[in-house]
Amino acid sequence: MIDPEIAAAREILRAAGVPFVVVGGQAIARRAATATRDIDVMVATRDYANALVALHRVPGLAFDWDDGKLARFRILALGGVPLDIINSGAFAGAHGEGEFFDFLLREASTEEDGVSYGTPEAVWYTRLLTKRWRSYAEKIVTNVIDGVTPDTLTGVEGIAERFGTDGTLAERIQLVRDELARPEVAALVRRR
Amino acid sequence: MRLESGLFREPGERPLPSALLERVERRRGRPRLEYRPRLENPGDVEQLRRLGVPAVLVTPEWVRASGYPVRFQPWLAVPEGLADKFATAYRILPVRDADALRAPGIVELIALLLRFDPLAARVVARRNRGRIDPNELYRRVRNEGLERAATRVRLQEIAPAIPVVGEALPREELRWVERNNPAEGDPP
Repeated sequence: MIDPEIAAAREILRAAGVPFVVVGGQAIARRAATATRDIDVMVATRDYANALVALHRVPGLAFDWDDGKLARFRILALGGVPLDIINSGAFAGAHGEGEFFDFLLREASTEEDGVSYGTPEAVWYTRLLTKRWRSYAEKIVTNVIDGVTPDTLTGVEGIAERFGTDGTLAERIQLVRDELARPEVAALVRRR
Repeated sequence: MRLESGLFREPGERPLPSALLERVERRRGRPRLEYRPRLENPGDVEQLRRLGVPAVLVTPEWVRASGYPVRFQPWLAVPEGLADKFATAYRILPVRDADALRAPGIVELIALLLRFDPLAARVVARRNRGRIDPNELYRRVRNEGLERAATRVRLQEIAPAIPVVGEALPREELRWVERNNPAEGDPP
């Protein structure tokens, strides 16, 4: 059964006519029984501006802010759950802006109930590439405790090499590995 | 050598419910009957608690009611000496201080969350600040050796006596996590 938050986002984005991929915690929730309620969806750079224009017209959706890389709306029917529209261009590294979204849609997502969800590798890659990567590293550790395999980090390295962001991500990925190796974390991972 | 603990029937105690507590085969020279709890649902955990065993189910419902909207598979928090004594599909969260499981409140929940989701612990602590005794939070963090996780999410803002161990996450990132996760029922 589709989660109410995802169902609401699907209807809103379909009405806006925007191709999207769910990333963030809701995508991780396909592989591990864990999620917060907020919804992160990624759209192609070429669609970003038009998506925001269309979403401004959707009733029941309140606009919070937009910094060009990310725009936040709130779904009023769900008590103001954040719906973040993420511009995929920031994750393309040395490649053209549109390439990361195309990769995500074609090679790094799975479809369920008419919704594309990013793979854990793609979600962690985007998390570790943001400016708030430290708190997302913390979330990745929680994801592993909740059942995502730590080998996913190898997949993240593969994506980083493909997009030429491996220089930035190497240290961040190592930090996550160091955290996962801590005895108190490793003990919980063994017990799951 | 290792210290072993287990669950035993008290002399004079009424027969224990066999569906909940299966008898462990008596080993040679063992004078008392040892029991292994079989826990399948929250009702089993509640029944076990009534028999005096400090076991607590950490559920997403409890965390959501405390201000952090999250889903996860429940954890069964038990004294660490008993961690391997349960027959259950629940994930086991061993706890050093069994007293923390006797009548767990918001402080105990925060300490339990620090073990597997420190960001959730932070948000719950912030949203229940008025109900938290800083000394009690300090004590629970110390007893469980959670100073590093507490520092990471800056719980010293609520319980200043917690020793700083390791690096804290940037304040701005912690505020971001909080803003991304409004409590259920919060006005938009």
